[in-house]
Amino acid sequence: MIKTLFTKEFLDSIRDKRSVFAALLGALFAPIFFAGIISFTLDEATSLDDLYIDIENQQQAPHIVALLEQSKILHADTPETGKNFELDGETIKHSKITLTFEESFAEKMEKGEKATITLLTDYSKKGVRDEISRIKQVINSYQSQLVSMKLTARGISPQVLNVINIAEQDLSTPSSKSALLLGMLGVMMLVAVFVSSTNVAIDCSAGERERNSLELLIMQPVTTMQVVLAKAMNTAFFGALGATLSVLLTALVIPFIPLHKAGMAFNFDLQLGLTIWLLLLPLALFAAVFQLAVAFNAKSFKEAQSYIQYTVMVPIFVPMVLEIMNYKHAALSYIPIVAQQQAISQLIRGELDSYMPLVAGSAITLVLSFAIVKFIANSLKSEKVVLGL
Amino acid sequence: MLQVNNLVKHFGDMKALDDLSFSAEDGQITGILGPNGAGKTTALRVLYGLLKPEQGVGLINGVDSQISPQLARKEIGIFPDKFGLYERLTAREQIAYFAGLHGLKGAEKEQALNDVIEKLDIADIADRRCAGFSQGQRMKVIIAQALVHKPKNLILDEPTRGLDVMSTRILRDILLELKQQGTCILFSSHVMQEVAALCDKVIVVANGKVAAVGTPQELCEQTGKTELEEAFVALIGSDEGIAA
Repeated sequence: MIKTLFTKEFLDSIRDKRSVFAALLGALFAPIFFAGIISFTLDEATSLDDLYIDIENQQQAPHIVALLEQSKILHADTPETGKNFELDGETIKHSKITLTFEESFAEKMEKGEKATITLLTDYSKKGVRDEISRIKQVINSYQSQLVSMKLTARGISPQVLNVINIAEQDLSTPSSKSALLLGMLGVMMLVAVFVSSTNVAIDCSAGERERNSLELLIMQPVTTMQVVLAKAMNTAFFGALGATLSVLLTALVIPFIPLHKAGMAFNFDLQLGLTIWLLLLPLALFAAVFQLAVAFNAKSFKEAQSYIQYTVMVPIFVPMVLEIMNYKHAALSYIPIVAQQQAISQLIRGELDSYMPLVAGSAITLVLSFAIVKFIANSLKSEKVVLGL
Repeated sequence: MLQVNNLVKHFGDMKALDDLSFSAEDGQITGILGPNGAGKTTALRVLYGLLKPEQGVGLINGVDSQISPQLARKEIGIFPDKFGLYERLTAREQIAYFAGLHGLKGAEKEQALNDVIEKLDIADIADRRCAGFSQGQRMKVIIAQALVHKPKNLILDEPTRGLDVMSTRILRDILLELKQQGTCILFSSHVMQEVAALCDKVIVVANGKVAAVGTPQELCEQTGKTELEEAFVALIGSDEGIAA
């Protein structure tokens, strides 16, 4: 019986171009989004490029100018309009920072008096602080060298200036640096599952009712449980299809992204891919029955469509809220969606200590899915749901 | 054999069925006549086991459709008041689906499919998708899927609505043939000529109650009218809801 029901549901959905397209869209979402984000980040991360600033009164401190040049901080006149200027036929961005050595800079330095360098720029501009600190770093290291030499010349050890030594040790590994971005990849895969099944879920519930075939189906010698199970299996199939394509495409795309350039290390191997895929399967069933429950309880196809949009938001919203609230509780690893999201992000970061929450989370997801199936099957016994009253 | 006994059903404050009882015998065509909102469709939904009455039973071949709806429904073919085809399936797939729902399998199913397709003369459209079918073609597919499992009882809810003359005649011929074979046919309608021409027994329903039962001839005699339409109006007490 289930086979008859499922075969028909599947045939009906696979011939629906919209449903198939939605599943493909869901699958493409994760890798494309990921590739986009990464290339954006790569641009940002590899930006230790030539920095063009306007240096006034260069003749006052040729040493400093030379040091700046060594650190790729070069002089260019501030363009009169816009932020770009031409250099050897190339259009180059100007930082719009002006560094001015005061008129008597060289003279004061010679006398050992305090000499002033003015840094002029709009400090509220994005990224300008990094540029300023690059310049300051060069000047400060010049200054400390100079001070050391002066002290040495007076017979004092430069050590007296450095009582405390701050040893900075960066604990971030290339893997954990990429954690945030990779966490997003996990969320995108969850979204893929949800997006892929939306259209099928609406079509075979609210859609079937609107086309007047649901009532006739319920009048046949089948139980509502069988009807709902068949519809859930079919809907989940599309979610799982989306998940499969999403994982496959991610695996295909990742080797082509030069992650190491951004200081990221991420190895999407077969085992990781398979584990994620296995995690997504129970979620596909959960997403399917969740969406079916929503669509069956909507009064019309249109209403179902607008509600379903919110169900797609759930896998983005829930992890985001938890992240913002910084709420952590052991029980969270067992709630559908959160369980999968946490497990995937731990898997990707290589921080998974035990497979226990992963298996238990999946089991609980399945149990909850069946509870929802039972709920829909019961609600299909009510004329309100069958007739959309 | 279809039977409903003492059905009572409310929708909110509205009394849809008020101690309604009737029966339809094998080898007869029984018509249910009644104005819109008289409770015809509600009574049929109770009979299918789709709605729960507050009181009373619906029996299909003696099986209570509230207690064992699956078993009871195996014995009926339904032509619902609103029917939708699965537009993305072919007519054959659609009929095969319903055959499967009634438990037909393999060669038996193929045979039943071919029989019903031949009987309704729809071989030419059998392998086309239902999207774009005419109203008459749709009617035939729905009849075919209601008959594919060779039910003992056939229930039709306003089957001729929206059909042209040719389709109506085909439907009439099919019903008469089924009657000859001993099928119990129950159908609701608003069209008086059709009821008068086809039905062995007419049940007039108004306000959730049976107003009168008899052959069209008996109903006319009972009310002293010559036309069934006049008799019907006299029985329900108003001329609401009649399409002549």
